[in-house]
Formats: sequence, C-alpha cells, structure tokens
Amino acid sequence: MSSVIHAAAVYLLFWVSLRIAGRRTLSQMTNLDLILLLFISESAQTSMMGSDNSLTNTLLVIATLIGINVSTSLIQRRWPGLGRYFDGLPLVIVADGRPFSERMQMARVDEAAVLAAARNGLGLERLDQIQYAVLERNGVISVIPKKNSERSNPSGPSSIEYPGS
Amino acid sequence: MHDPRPTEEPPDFGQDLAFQRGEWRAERIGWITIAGLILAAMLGLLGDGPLSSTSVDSPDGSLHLIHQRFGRVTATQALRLRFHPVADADRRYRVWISGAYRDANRVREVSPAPEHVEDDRGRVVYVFRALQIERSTEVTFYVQPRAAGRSPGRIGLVGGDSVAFQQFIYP
Repeated sequence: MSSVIHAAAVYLLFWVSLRIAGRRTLSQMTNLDLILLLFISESAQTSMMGSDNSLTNTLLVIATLIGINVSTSLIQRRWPGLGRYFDGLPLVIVADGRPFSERMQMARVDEAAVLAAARNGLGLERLDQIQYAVLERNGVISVIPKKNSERSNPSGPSSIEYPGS
Repeated sequence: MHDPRPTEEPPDFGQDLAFQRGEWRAERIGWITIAGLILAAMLGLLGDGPLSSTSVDSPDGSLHLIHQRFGRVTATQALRLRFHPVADADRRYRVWISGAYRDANRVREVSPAPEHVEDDRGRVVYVFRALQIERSTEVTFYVQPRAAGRSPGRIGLVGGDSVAFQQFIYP
C-alpha cells in the first residue's frame, strides 16, 4: 500500500512543482535543465521505492504512475474545462508583429525566444514578420507568420503545422 | 519589448486571460512557498539545523541530553547523553531508553559500543564498562525514526535520574 501512496504523492508533488515552475521551465531544455531533471528523478526514485527494490514494488510504482497519468487524461477528456488546471491554457504573446510585454514578462518569455521560434523552421528574421506568436500549454512557442512576410528559409514552414496557414 | 501593446485583440486560440492571471498569481505564491521551505530547512525546522538542536537537563542536573526537535523518517539523528559517571557496584554503567521510543526508532549505532543490551520492564538498557564511560562521560545513540508524527522519549541511568524529550518526525 505504501508504494502506491508514495508514488501518488510524488506524482502530485511533481505536478505542483512543474505548475509552480511555469511551463517554460523545462520546455527549452538546456544542458543544465537536463542534469536538473536527472537529479530530480533520482531523488524522487528513492522516496518512491524506499528500501524495497523488489520486482513487485517496481511494478506497483510504475503501474501507479501510469494509472494516474491515464486517469488525468481521461478526466480531461470527460471534463474538458478541467484541462486548464492540469496543463494551463495557450497565451498569445505577439500579435501583428508587436509583443504583449506584460504577458511575456509574467510568462518569463523574452523576445529572443520568440525570434528563435520564428527562425526555427519558419525562417523569419524579425518580429514584424510575425502575425501571432502563441505560448502553448506545453511551453513551446508557435509562430504564425504574416501572409506576405519574406522568409529566409521558405522550405521551412512545410514541416510545421499551425492554424491559419 | 520595444513596441507599445497591440491595440487589437488577436483570435482567441483558447486563451483565457482571467484564468491566466490567476495561474500567474498561484505561480508566484508557489515561488514564495518554495523560498519559505528552503529557509525553514536552513533554519532547521524540517530536520537538523540551528532551531532544531536543543538540550534538556534532568531535575538534579546529573544528565544533559542533546537532541533534535525535528527529524525525518529513516534519516539518522543523534541523541547525545552527558552525565556525571557513577558506576554500579560491578563497575558498569547502565543507560536506559524507554521501550516506546526504542520501538519507534531503529538504533543504528551506539558510541561507545555497549558491552551488551538488556530488556528491563518495558525499557531497553545499554550496559557499558566503567572504563569506556570514564574517558568521555558521553554516550551517543544514532537513531533512525521508523514512522512520522510525534515521538516522545525518555532516557536515563539505571538507579539514577532520567530526562523526557519530544521530537516531531516528518514523513
């Protein structure tokens, strides 16, 4: 029983921690973020497994974590309104080439990150080439170019799907 | 961030600014909570640290126990008992710990090592030879709490005084 409770508590702890840390924290993973993630999982593993390294305990912990994960997705499908509490909502951070400064500041997104997302695949070079930039629920920035924007890498957009294209 | 705010609201994209502001508020409260947790841990409110370390003396002043107010399940902590050595007739010192505390904690190590351990009417008695004790007049028990919650204990000398102490163990 304690394995299930510990695993569920660690899942809850992780969910709260990641919501507190903000969606941008692990979406753009630097080398340091990767190491941080490894350290976090290592410390959580000890708490979940305790001194019981048996196959049964491992099975229980994995089953609990996957069970909770599946349950949350089912809950979100059944009650879509609750999804926002699990993953947040999209946020428009640039419209018509102009940034929403306060939103970007609160979401800890800078202009350089938006430009990097615009360059990546879309080949855009400037903010004024962007129609909309949206901070998605998973922390990724989606960029929708202006219809008439010039692109330095015109082959890029074909590999990326975005609304309004 | 050079330009003024866009004047025209873009398409919805599923955003909800009122909810988003609530989320940011919750995020900031979370940051403050994390900072508070770190500060509390540094001060010793969640385990070892300056505010956790305390001591208690027996009424006659013959015993002095140094222990932690706060501990964590399975984390080793020390109980240091200092006393004026008064040996039994058989040149032995007998230090006892209440049975309930002993049951709630696993004794990992005792320094100096006792000659042997006895059970005595619900308490556990650690017997030391006089020579071991007279060098330091201090016995240290390294214990690991088994469960979370309040953990009261009592420690003393057989035929002498004893001290009661309280701990709180975090999960």
